Amino acid sequence: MIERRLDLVVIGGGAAGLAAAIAAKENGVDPIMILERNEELGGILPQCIHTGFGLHFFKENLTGPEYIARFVKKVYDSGIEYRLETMVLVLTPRGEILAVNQAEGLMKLRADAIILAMGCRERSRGALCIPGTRPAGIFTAGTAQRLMDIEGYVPGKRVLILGSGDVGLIMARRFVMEGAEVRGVVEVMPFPGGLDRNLQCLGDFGIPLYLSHAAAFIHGSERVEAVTISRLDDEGRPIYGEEKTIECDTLILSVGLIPENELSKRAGVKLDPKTGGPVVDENMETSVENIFACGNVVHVHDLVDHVTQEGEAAGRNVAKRILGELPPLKRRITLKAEGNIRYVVPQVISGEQPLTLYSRVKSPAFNAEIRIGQNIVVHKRVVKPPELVTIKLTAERLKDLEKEEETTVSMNV
Amino acid sequence: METSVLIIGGGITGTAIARELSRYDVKVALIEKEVDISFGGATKANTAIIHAGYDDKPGTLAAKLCPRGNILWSRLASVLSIPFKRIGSLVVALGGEEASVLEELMERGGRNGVPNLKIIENEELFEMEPNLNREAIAGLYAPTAGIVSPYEAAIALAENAKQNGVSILLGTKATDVIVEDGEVKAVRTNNGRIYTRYVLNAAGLFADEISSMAGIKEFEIIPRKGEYVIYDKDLSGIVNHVLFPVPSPVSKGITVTPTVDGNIIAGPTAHDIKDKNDLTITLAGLEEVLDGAYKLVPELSARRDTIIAGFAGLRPQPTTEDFIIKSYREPFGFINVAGIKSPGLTSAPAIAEMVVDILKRGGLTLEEKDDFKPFRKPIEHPIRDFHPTKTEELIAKDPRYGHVVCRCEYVTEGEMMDAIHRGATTLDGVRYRTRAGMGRCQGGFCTPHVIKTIARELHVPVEEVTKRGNGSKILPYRAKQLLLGDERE
Amino acid sequence: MGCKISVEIKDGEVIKIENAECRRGRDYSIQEVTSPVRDFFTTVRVEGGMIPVLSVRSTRPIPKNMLMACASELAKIVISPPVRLGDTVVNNILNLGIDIVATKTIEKA
Repeated sequence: MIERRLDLVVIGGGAAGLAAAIAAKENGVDPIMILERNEELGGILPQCIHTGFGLHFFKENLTGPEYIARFVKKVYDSGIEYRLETMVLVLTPRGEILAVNQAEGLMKLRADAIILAMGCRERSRGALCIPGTRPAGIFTAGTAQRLMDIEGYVPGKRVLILGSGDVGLIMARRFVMEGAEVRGVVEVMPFPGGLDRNLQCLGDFGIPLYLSHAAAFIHGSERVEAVTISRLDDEGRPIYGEEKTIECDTLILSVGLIPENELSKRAGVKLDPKTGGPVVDENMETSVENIFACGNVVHVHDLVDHVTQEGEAAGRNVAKRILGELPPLKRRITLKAEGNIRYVVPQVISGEQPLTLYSRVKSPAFNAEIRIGQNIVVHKRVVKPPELVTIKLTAERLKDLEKEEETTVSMNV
Repeated sequence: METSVLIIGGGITGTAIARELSRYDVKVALIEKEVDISFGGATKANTAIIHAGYDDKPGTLAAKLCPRGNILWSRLASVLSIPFKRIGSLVVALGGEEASVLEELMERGGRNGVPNLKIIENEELFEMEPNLNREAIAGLYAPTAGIVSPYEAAIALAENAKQNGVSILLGTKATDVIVEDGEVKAVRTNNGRIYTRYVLNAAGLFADEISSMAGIKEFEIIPRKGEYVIYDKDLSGIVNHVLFPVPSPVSKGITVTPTVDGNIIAGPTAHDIKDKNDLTITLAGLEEVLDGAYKLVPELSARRDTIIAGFAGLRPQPTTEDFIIKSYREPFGFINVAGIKSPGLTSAPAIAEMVVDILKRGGLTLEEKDDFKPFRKPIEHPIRDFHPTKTEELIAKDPRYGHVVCRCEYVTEGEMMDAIHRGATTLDGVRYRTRAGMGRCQGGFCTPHVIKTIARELHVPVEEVTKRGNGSKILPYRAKQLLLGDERE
Repeated sequence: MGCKISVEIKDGEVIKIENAECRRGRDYSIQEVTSPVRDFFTTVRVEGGMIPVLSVRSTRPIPKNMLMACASELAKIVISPPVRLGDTVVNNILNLGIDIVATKTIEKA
């Protein structure tokens, strides 16, 4: 069995992992190995052939493959090691890894620091318990995207999309561009879930948007034949008698992303049930010393630009830690999300370092007032669930933060 | 085609009989109307329990065959490498009235020959099951109960039967039973006529229709639907035994049990329906399952977000209230093995024994083969069933065992190839043999790879690969095909 | 992020814009109501490459009403690797003065 000792192992070679590895290398960490499950580096980006990436980070409007190619190139050029089609089987709190791939078989790695960057998976039909038959023709949006834009197949020609989140809307556009008919987008909330620029495709192609509707029944014994949707009341319950059956041969599910933390759990990393990801501090360190995390594995992001920034921060901090310049936080203030704030990342801060908080709200609002502790108030003109809210806590602002063990981050609904 | 014994039905009953008969020097064929073993009916969708045998009315066939089958499962699972664990079961009484039912069941079990039944109370009960509803006052403990993988079992039985000379004909549906001079002559199928002396009707949900073809209309099969919910393996350990509520006249009730693969399942409901092809899951069914589950394990109500799937199965409920396992004077050669609902899975090996006996008594000479091969080599799961030295050896022998394709269940490329070479031709066929696609992401990551591998290995276009045969195509169109107006229906 | 801009048009010409908070917003809203454009991106079939489709994009946004025409046009072609990120796949598509370029690199299989 191969056995290696490394400074840093990055689990996941997507946007977060690549940014982290590059930042760590640039700050003196060596050797570094990236472990990636797929057959290429880049995570989800190679199949995201649409534009909208890099508007903030590069001030350019790039497609997913173009965006990630810049980071992949840096990895190639910098001598960072990586392994593809490699699965991590075991991760211990002491930084020991057991991984496996076809070329090398089993390997035992030991690293001084680990960065978790495993991204997320999609919520399935099964998890939602949507009633009806179990035919062929049901795909989550990411799987449909892979099948279409990497494997070169069109999963169906009359498509209904569940969920008005970004991935579903992007796939609506892709399906139309491949000659399929999109019969509608169905959303349980009274407001759409995706970014405005992705919602454009509905108007562009005359695709009906059914807000406050849910899938009630899937029909078709062998292949999807139709889906019955029903209108929901204010409490989110189906209103009997207000159903509509839409003929289609394909059902695409864009109903939630779940950070993939199986490995984190087994390594004893503490998770935040509100994000589905590890509890991290302002250094992106988890509850296990020397295990850091970044990207969608921590919380579901909306822009890859933020993922890259988070990854870079994690990589820089690992470098500092390895050089002995980053002790674990002495003072720990746990931030508790309340009211209209669904979650806040990082969950633990020192209150002594300026930082940016990332947050998501439960319902949209104008002229929002976000309160951190008793004294810090941040104003946001518009907040919406699909958009990550960024809260810059400058040194100035932090002076007003009570040095308690726990502080709330809240917004009245 | 010609054979001596034709088995109709490739579920657990038909395959168990096929394997048992394959010990003997006799020509046997099995026909299954779906494209793969276990795809048809109850075998792929049930609670997967090997029952102890106290439920059944003494004197019935079920009461006799269930405890016998229970004993036979250990050996069968061992020689055929079928996943099986004897974890024991508890019938839980939530209140005084229910406790008296436990006494009745214990007494019944005694009469049926079920060993080691014991009533457990108070502290001991909660030691055995820490998450049990604190309102539980007693439990009937049956240490011989177990859990199994029913479709893997049927597949293993069919493989071994085939290894020992049984012809397995898939996608072959019986359309008529041809009787001449009061004797079975042949069975007409969609793939031609099969001449045979004996017909064993193990057609599950459709056994009444087959029996009618032979002129025997003494029973009907009413589909009784049962819905289930599967929880993430994260919940493993929340219960340690098969947990039953006190039974009703209609069913054993909504169970909460570990599966042999490490998930937890809850179910089934029990509602008679009309359509033998209705496997739909419903909102009402889901709520009923969850209500029943929460009665036994209240903690589950906080874990609804860990449900990974729901499914439904249909019990082939006979109008006779017991298994129908018999031969007839006319037509001679026709044997019904019908109405095999619970405890059908448990009884299967014993049913097979009984059927062999019926054949012998009916005049069929059955001599044991010298070269009967009782063992079946399983598909290796080197990563899923990690073993410090064995895993490395397997990967060294075939590196594809190091390429993980299904990330939730740790299924490798090597296992997928094995599954395809051992008979899987569909997505579900690979799923049932390897568990690829049965994990928490329900095939989100592995499906593209599985489809491509099936297409490549079976030399068929990707567009022809199906979920479970017939019209269940998964990727009907290639890139640009719709834009170019070139759609093949 | 984002603001809600109202635009008033008369006879196909913009006469009033409200709530635009920056130049980019103004320009975008004028464009969107007079001659809307969209980023165009899709795939092109590949023969003999490591993957069967190549992701491509237009170098500039194309008129919204030309989206399907461009998609159909690109459906007709099949390219052979190697193709490098940035290579022109179609020059001046449908005479729009806009090129279609590869957004990833594909090697020969």
